[in-house]
Amino acid sequence: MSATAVGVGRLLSWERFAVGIRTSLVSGIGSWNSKGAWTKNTENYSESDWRSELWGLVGLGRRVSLWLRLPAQLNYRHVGNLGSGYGGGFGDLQAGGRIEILGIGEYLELPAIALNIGFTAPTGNSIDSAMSAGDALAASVTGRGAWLATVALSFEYTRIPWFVRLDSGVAVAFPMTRADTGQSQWYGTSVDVALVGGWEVVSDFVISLSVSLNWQDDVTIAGDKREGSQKIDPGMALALSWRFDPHWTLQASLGSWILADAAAKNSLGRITSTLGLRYGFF
Amino acid sequence: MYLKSRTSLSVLMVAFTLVLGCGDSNPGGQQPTGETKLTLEVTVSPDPPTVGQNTMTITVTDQDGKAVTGATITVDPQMPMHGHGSSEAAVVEDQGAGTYRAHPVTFQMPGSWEVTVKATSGEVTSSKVLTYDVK
Repeated sequence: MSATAVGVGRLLSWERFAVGIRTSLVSGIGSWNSKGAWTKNTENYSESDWRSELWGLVGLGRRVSLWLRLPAQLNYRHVGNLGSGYGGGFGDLQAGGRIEILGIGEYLELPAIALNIGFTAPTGNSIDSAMSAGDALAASVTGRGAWLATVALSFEYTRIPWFVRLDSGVAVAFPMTRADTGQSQWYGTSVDVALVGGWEVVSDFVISLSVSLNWQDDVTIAGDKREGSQKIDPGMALALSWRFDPHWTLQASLGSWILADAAAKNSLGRITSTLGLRYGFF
Repeated sequence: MYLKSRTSLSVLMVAFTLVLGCGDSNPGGQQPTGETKLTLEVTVSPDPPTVGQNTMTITVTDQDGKAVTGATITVDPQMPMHGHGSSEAAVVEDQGAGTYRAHPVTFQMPGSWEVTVKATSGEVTSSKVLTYDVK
């Protein structure tokens, strides 16, 4: 039940591959500044993104699977006296592999453990590229502009009808050259932690609650580490999944965070609603 | 022997004076001036600035308080925490009497911004960094 409960997830033990599509509406509510002060967006500014993603998982034997994620998005921005407009395109491609070190139920009373290694390629349109192309609204931004390498560990314990999972990972960015200034820029290393708990209410219908935290170190621009640019970005989400057919699963989720002072830092406050459809082949 | 000593002493005194004189590039005896510096005063409109286009007025004076005309001014807004700058380049107009107008100074999203204003006059460059919480 946990394999298909939240996000892209993993292959069920009897599946050979799975594909899916997820589509999200992301509405900007406000932001936290470098001191953690929360400010709600005024009538001068609004942002909405429609993000979609095609994804695939393929199994290589019992313990190894490969994954691929192809995102795309359409953005709307209204920026004060600059006006309003739309933009978008393909986002940053992500791919990697998952290794089941200890499978679900392999050893009684022990959690399943999996290692995930991946990378993100800067195939989207970064904000510095959008600036240098004259996109004053920054509506065409769909990516970060930097290569990323990620390593993550996942611990999962299941005792029907509930499960709990802890995901933790590190992402290291590689230096990039900014298209607008020509300067070198290096995003700080980031750490992600997420705790997910789920409950199979009735057969094949699962409710999950997740709490997550992303911390990113200061960014370095032209060799100068910019103190105060650290980012703290927590989140929480409620998710539903319904495997209405042995091959098909419908997913839905709603995510946000506590929109108040000191709840985050250098981060955007958003509400994200997602629908997903998954097909597993066996 | 007394004469030789006096002569030797005089030669020494002249040599000493010459050595001192070589170190003094101002034969008139005036003290050389200190390092030249420009002072920048910056105001923004509206104040506080908002998302979108804003206008900055920069006043440049030298260390004696005299207005500096014909300086080269650059205005560079950056959002370091997001790793990007402004979506538009500010155009600076020299309005005379050491006053310069920069427009547009664009903040395309809310949050913490740093704006570096730099003034160059001749061989001298000075800069000022201002931080704004833009809403």
